[in-house]
Amino acid sequence: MNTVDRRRRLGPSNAIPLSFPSVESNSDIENTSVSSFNEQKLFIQLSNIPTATGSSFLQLGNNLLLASVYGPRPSFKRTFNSKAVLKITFHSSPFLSSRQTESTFNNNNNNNNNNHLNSDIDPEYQIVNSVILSTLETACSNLILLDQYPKSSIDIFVNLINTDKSTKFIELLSLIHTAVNLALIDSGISVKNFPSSIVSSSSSSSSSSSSSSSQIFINSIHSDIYDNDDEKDLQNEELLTFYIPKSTNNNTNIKSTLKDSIDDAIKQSRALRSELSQFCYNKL
Amino acid sequence: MSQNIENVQLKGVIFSPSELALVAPDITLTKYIKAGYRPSLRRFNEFKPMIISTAGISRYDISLLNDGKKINELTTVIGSSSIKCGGTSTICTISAGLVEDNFEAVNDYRMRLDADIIVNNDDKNEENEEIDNILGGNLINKNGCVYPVIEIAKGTTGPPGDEEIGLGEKLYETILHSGLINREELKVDVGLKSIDENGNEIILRGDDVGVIKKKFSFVIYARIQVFGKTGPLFDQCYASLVKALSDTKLPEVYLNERESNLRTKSGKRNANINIQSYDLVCDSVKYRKLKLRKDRICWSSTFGIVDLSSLNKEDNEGDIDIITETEEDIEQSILLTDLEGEAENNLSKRISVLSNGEGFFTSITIEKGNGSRITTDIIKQALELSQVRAKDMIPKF
Amino acid sequence: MSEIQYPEKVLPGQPILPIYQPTDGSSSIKYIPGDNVRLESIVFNNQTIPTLISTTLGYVQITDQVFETEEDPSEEVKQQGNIKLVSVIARKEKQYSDNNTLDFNCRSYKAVTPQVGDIVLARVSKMTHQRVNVEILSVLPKSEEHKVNVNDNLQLLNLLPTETGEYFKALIRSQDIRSTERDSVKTWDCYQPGDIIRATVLSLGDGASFYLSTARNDLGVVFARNEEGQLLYPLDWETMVDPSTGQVEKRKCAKPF
Repeated sequence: MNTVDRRRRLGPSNAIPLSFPSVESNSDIENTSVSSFNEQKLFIQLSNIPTATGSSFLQLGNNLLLASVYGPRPSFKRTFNSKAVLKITFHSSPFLSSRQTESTFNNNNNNNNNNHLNSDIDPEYQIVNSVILSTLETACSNLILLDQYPKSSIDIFVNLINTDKSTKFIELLSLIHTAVNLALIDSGISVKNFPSSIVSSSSSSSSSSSSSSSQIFINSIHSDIYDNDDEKDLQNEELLTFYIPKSTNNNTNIKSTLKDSIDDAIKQSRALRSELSQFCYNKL
Repeated sequence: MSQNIENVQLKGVIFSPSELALVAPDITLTKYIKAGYRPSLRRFNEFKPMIISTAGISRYDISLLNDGKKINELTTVIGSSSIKCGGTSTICTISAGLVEDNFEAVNDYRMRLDADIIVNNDDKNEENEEIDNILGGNLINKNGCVYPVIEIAKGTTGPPGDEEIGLGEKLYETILHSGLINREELKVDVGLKSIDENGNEIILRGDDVGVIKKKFSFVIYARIQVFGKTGPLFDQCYASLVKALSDTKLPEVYLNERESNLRTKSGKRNANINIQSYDLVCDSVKYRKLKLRKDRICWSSTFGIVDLSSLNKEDNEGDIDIITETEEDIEQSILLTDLEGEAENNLSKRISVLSNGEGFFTSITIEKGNGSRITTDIIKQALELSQVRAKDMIPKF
Repeated sequence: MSEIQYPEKVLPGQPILPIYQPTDGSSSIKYIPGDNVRLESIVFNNQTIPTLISTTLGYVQITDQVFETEEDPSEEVKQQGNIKLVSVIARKEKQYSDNNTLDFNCRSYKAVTPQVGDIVLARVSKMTHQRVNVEILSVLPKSEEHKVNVNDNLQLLNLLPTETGEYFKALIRSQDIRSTERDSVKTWDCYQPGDIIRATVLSLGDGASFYLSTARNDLGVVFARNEEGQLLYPLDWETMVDPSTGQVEKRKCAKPF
């Protein structure tokens, strides 16, 4: 850190952050917990921040997330904007920084554990802010009817309060999207359709046995095309955003299963959506 | 907007309550107070219920995931709390760093300023010697402190705001001067990790470790996130900080042998470089609880004072006689607890009291504000109320 | 005429009513999208049907569309009752009467940005001879002006989020202050900084501010204080008085009688 924050008390500058060596982990246990990620109970609370337009609090295992939506409110751009400007900020607790690749906490110079622990972090678990932000931006700008709010800005904040070592980044990503989706629904801001996001493990049994089963994240809504037939209706899904992590598997396999895994993801996404929408509906 | 045309009296535009609250919050407040209530529908001296709990997100909290591990390895949070009060929720997380003694105080110019401040006290019945020590001795050497960073979610990004900075400063001062944490409590008993003849890891302490001459202390950081602010936040922030501190567990620390060898190799000529090259590692499982001084645990109550001026200029829904009523021309001050909402937040006259519920106060702040003077009655009332409240709330920590 | 079926509560993206082409025999009722509703052509089983779709989670409300034209044709249209406005009341804008509790926490009630034609409450912030700069405090409910008795039908205001104390900025040009003698308006005789005015949105303006107008009888100052902080009461169209001192000040009042 080259700049000192003189506005706040951040403690002595020569303080050494705490560094904890990793406990020898039992890899078997980790794997079983990964597979059960989608089966864990999700705790949702809406409107927990009364001053925000919409907000949601999510807990899944050790993962605690808070999403809040502010706006639409005046945007002080010089130029005329016929539609709302979207601003998304992702904050994670600085004390979790050991999983961070790029430090966004320039206001906190104490807690940089990066040097100590970054080296041995599995890329599957690394939190990549740029991925979070770009997928959120894509999803939200496709979802919100921005042209209903001229000259405004809509601010979305995601606070990662806690997470743990057994949650993969992609799973966290889907949680983040779910939190934002729900906060948007809660806010009453005009959106195209009810969104839901899911991480789907590749369904093909061959790859699931290997430790790095390919996973895909999608955030999607139902399109304006409907079909009575459930199977056919799966085609009428509009993807807001998706993310496929760099896989260690050979590529040919992935390509062939991509369509399948997306179909599978859509199916799961629909199931989640019906639950979430029921939840929201009951909240009315 | 409706009109009233049956008389010749003057009338303003009639606003709906929510409109009036927006246009003229002070008038709304006066109206409520005249009716004996506050906009939040609480009574004047009614406190807001506050739910205090540990947030359970620290490293040592048993994992909800049941993944076979007893600790959450990802986080360096060593204490946490969560407080909900009305629509406002506060999450406080505590982490720590290590700093060499004798170094901290010298390096931080702000510390030197603080050391000159004399602690005021007017009570010598209890803990006489301790208080004398504070008076005579160096405050920094006696009392531990916490470095709080406050983040109030306002839906904006950018540098910390005045309120956040002010709150952080006030919390820091309060913890330091109240002596909540004994400085000794933060001292680190550094061990030396080594491998014995049989290849087992052992940790040497005290006299066994000749290498460690430097003394280390924990530096405690707090991060307080506030969501849904509706009024002054100090009470809540203080409560969450104290709660989190009482939940805090300090890890055991040892020096890596490899690093200590390296240190001796580089020799004494490069002492400055050596300081940075200490590789202090915390034990990932073992810890000790941070002990707070029980008698210094306080509850903070902030009061606002509203003047009810005699002129009943506000007392109308639009109609008013030109001849104003002359009765009750006395200024009246009313003490309000737990301010909430825009109008109450705008009150400039404040009294802030930290009481331990047993007749002791660690801090009393009176803000003069605008308007009539603050009477002794009001101050007395505030002190009494804060005592009652403290007695009520401190057991919940 | 059979009641049309529509869902009571809707989720975002949920169709509310399909729009069919009127046939000769049917009594045609025209539904048009209101708040939080959009008109979209959806394809259902390969059939394209224009449908009113909700854009938010809330309650469906269907009301008669009232035209704002002041002339008699509006009366005629209303009688036919053929045009209905379909809108969705978002969860947070729940009516006051529903739960009988007033929400006095400072919360933002509705996510809105001012649109052309809206009536807004604004506070005068800055003045020059050519223009009056204001901050828009709130967008008033559209039906407000038609309501006779406000107090009977209390409605939570759709306060704009004021968390950061930021408001939509707007300005009133001097020629938009009143409808008569537009060219000789003296801004200082009409408004003073701090006044609360009611105005209508003329246009979205430029990047910085909206353009408002008060050139109507029901628009102008609704709330003002003098320098001592005493409330002023309207005496006539262009005068306000402080009842305790009798001092008068000039203002462009909104419909004082």
